[in-house]
Amino acid sequence: MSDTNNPFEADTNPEFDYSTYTLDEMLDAYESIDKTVFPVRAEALRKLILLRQSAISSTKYDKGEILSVAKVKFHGRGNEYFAIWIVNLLLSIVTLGIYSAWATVRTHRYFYSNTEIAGHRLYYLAEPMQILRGRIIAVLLLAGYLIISNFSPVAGLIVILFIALLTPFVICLGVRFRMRMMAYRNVRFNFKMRFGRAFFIFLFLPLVALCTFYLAMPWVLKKIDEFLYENMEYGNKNFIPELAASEYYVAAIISGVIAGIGMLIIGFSVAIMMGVGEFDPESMSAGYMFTMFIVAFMYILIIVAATSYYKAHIRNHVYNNTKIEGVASFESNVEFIPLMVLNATNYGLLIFTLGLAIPWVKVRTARFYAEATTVTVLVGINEVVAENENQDSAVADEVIGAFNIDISIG
Amino acid sequence: MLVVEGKLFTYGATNCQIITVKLSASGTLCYANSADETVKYKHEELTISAKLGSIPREIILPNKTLIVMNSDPLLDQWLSAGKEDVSHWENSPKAVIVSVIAVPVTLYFIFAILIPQMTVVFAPYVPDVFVELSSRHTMAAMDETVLNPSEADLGKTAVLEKQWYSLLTNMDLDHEKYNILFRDTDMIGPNAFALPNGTIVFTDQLLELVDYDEDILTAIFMHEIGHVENHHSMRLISQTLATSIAITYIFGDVSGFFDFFASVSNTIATNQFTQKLEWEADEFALQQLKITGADPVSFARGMKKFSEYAERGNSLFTKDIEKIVSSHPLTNERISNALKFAGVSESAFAEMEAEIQQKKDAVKTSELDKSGSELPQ
Repeated sequence: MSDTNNPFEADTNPEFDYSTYTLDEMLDAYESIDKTVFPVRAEALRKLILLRQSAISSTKYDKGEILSVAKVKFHGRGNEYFAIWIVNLLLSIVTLGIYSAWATVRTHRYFYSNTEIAGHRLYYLAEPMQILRGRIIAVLLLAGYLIISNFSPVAGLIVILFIALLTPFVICLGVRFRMRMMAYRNVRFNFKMRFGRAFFIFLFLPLVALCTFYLAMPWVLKKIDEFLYENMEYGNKNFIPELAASEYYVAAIISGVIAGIGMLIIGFSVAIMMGVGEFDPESMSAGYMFTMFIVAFMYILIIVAATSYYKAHIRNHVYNNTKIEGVASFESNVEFIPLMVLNATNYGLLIFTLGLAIPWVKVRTARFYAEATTVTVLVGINEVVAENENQDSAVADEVIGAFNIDISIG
Repeated sequence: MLVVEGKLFTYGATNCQIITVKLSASGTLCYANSADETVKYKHEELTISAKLGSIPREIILPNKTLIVMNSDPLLDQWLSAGKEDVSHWENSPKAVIVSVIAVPVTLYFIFAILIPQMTVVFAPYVPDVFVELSSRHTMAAMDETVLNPSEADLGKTAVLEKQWYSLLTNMDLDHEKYNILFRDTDMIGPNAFALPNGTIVFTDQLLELVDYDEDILTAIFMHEIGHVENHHSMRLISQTLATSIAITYIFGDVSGFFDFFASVSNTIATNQFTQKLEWEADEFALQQLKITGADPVSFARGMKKFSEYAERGNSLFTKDIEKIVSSHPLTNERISNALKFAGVSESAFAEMEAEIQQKKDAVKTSELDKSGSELPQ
């Protein structure tokens, strides 16, 4: 290795990043590193090992079981992603949407591959042609639906009912496509298809919620999350969620209280403003506009506050009580106020830049959630093997994937 | 030679092995495997993931082994082997600046020019059977929901019908498809609308609003014919269709709360389009009124009635907002447009209005007097 081109030959780069290594890899590296040639790096590595070991000692697992305990890291940068986003958007437009399949793949790859868990990145595996095929069929279906509903409202209604009946299939296929297109350490995730159960969860339970005047809704939402997580797999290992309906009730009630207090504040302030400014709509139309603007702004803020609380509470509960059998457990500590500030500023950015801030909004959101998540990886991960990778590229999978149905997972 | 550290995964397993990869200028990749044997591959045997930002580079060997290496300019250069791809543009400030300017321009071109133009070209070719079917279904659905049988003065509506059908026969169009209907409504107020097959519906509330004024109603009738003759329904449908599809297609991967922005821009685009269609129908009505020898000012008078009616209802609505979100052009602009066409000044129009009102009042008082005198003293 005498080549002068070798960027790693000399010890000139003390920032060489060992933090992406697991504890075992660090120990290996520390053993094999020539400490007289690379003193700076060896010292940095020693410090990292000590930090990692103390982090591991604070968890509930046996030391022998744990490979690493680390926060999820997001390496994406807003400026970098903006350049990617805008160039791909232009290409999508000038190709009348054909390129959008490639753009979608690049976007997903950017976010997956910049997400680092215990020293390894996630990977996005879908091929642009898969997405394009699905998207063309999706557009044809959408056009068909729009045409039918425009020509005959009754036929449109029948189509909607039909779609509603298909919802459980659609959700399962969508989740499966997303999970199968994601890999970590060379092994794919998966989602088991259980259509019978899906019908019960996505069609019958919402009816139950309706019949109980939504009193059962938090319980139904818990059942939905449970169904989604318990059918996820990483290679040949299952996800095991242990969720509690009580947490969903607590989250719903507190969000409701936040919304209620917010609405009271709006009511009072409108009343006060009405009282102060004499309300003659003809002469004060600018003032009236301003008031309406403030009210609308406060209204959005309250919605953001209530949904942020719910999201933070539920995400923390789900992550803290879900593990992958013998492979990993998760910890989430999303805090209500920072999440609310994030969401509110995101809306602000989007509105004031007319959408140009989308890349920064997506990057800062991804970073926020990454920083709030810790993953404990167990030694069992080394035994995970891929389930037989039968590439059944079922068209339905792709169509649903291309529709990009987003069900909030976490 | 370039020496890079990499992570090696054998096919289908999570086990990671840290290796030192040597990349030679001649295009070979080699590393020492777990048995310490040197393994060699040529550049063309490798499946290399495209460069994207600074994410790690992935290489898949012919035996499906995966090697992951941190992105680095020298490594990227070796992997690209002189070929350029999209990442070249993504890294070029010039391309980014061009895109920032070109994205809004091309979007404007597609949504404001291309799609509306396409609808003009394609709308006349929509098969009649679809037009007939959609109109019948729509009318049936409206009769079921918002419309009731007319309770208007049959004598007066019969006069209107007779006049309009004779007017139609004198116009240069397919007059047989037209069908005039009167309906009562609680929901949609004073209004008239046309279905693409030539069905034109007047609400009782509109007849009452304009006091069965034949001139005004004829002007409105012409406006509705304008919608039918210019295939406005079909153009609106294809516009909505094309816009929704374009938005889904171009912004396909923009999900979640960005949907909100997509739907808002869709609504604004559609409403701007319908405003344009209203102007076209207005223009048609004014032209036809002139050709058939009627006074185009009647159209302005009809609009005036609408604006008075609207002011009674929602005076708080701010005009600027209305201009953007409303599907109809501002009534005042439409009145001035009609007056300009007729060559009548605003003040002369006001005088005419007062005069007509006076005449009507006179007729009413004389009718009242008549009925009063018939009462037994």
